[in-house]
Amino acid sequence: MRVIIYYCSVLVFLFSQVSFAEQASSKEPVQRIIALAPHSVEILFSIGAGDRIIATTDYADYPQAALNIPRVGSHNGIQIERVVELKPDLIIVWESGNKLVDIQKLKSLGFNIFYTRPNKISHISDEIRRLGELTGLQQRARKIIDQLETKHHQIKNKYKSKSKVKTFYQLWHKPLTSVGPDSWVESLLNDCHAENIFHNASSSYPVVSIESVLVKNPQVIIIPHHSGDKEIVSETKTDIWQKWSEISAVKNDQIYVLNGDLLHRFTPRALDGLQKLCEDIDKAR
Amino acid sequence: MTSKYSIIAFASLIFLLFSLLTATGIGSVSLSFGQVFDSLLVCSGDVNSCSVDPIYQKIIWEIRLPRIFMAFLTGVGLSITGAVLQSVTRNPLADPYLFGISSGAAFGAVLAISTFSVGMVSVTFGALMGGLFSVILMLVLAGNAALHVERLLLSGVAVSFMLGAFTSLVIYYSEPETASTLLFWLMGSFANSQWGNLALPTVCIVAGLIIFVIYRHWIDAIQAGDEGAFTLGVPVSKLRLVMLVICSMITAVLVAQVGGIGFVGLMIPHICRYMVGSQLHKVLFMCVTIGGSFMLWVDVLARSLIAEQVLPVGIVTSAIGSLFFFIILKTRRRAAI
Repeated sequence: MRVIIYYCSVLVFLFSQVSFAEQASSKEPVQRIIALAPHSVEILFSIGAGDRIIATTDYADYPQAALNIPRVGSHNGIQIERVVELKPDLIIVWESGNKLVDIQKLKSLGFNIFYTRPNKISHISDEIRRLGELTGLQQRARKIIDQLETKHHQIKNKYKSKSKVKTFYQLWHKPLTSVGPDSWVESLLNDCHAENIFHNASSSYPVVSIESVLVKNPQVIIIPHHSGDKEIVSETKTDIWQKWSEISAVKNDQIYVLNGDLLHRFTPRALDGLQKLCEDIDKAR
Repeated sequence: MTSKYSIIAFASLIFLLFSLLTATGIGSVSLSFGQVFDSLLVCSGDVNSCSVDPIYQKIIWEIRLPRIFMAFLTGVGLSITGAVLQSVTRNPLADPYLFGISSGAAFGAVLAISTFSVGMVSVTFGALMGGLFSVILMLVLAGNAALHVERLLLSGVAVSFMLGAFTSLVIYYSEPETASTLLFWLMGSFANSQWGNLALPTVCIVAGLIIFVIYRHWIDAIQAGDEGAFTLGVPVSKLRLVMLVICSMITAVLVAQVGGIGFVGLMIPHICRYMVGSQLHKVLFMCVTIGGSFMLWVDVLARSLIAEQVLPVGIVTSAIGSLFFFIILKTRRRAAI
């Protein structure tokens, strides 16, 4: 579901050089939260603040209870008037998922705004800690951070001494889009001790050609699959490689379709995705 | 005068061949002229007994050549339709975009992509229907006014905006992934070209060219003025209508394969006319060579401008094209003084 958001974030990045330095603050624990990022909803639920979320966006689908929260936004934008009407004491905005104009409007209206911008797994810990402070649920937050960091270290340690595996991450097939430097997915690949073949691309989500994949000859091809995808088990996504047996990933049958909902969510669940990703990449060693 | 035309035509043909060969060599792997030559002529078809690495051979034959021919066909198709539309309407701004043909084809294709998911046939069909729909809509809206060139053009512009709005509406209501696919598609790309996709555009363009050449005297007559053409026995309105339909067919088939690529149909005919005068058969020949070469180079730039990445062709066409056009206009003005 989040592919477009990743894709759009390229554009957003271009225009988001303005710094949103001021992070939210609150003396009292916040009670009325509008969370405009699905991963923040999930984090709030995990620290026990799920019932304080009064509105969210279309994509917040985890945990189950999140489906009952009223919606004030979609990929087309945020309904600012509804937000004002709901009188939140904290709004969580996502710079690469929400529209910049919407963010600026909310800021100009003087709301208490928390900017979420996770780029690697360690950022998730920071966000859980900050949200714990804002909601006054530091202890629960601390516990979850500990679990997350332990598991993260376990995974990293397991693979860090193994050989590097050249990996192509096929974020989207129409147009053929991969991940570049400073992207969330590249940090996951690094954690698995894999080498992103488009590390030198000039943007975080480059549109690439089949030819360049061919030349780089990846050992593994990873294709995320999303629950919202129309095409069942993404045959069209893997089919493009079938005639290119020159690629070692194709020759050795090292093409893996993974759960994109896990891999692309900046929450503790991402570690499950990371574990599976590392296991599949490890098969090519 | 004839000899000057011959020289220019011959030079442009050589340039086209040079462009074809060079474009084949440029990409993620740079191949030398010699390797390209070997791959194309010495060991075509037989992969094993070849001095070129089999994988390069495959890159050339399976990725680059379909792409290059698609680029060439697009350049040719859009340029010749632009040239003919400019002649039959006597309007220097006429091109498939101005008449709403491209918008119609894009609307049909976008509708096909977003509602019928995969399958190139349905996209082509959608684009064709959309293109024809836009022409019919334009003629119905213009009514009797279709006899007047200005009104025809204005209804074309109106239709273009209307269908453009519909396209935006479809994108607005599609799923995020589909929307990103559609947006990228609208910016134009040759990335998915395959040999099988080349047949229909080739047939349409060749057929169109033959018809244009057969009726070139009539089109030239219209270019000189409706009344003059009428006294020469040219069925002005009918011919204009038929040309419009043919142009919309060619445009629709191309839009279906490569998405929206603007500016070529407007600019190339002017450059050609500037070089060889306004006789249609000369302009058409130049459109084939210059239009084809232009698109080849645009594609080369789209593939190699940013390291490791592919730019949408439409962006490069409009950016490079408009710059190039400014330069031509400037030098032309100076020459006129």
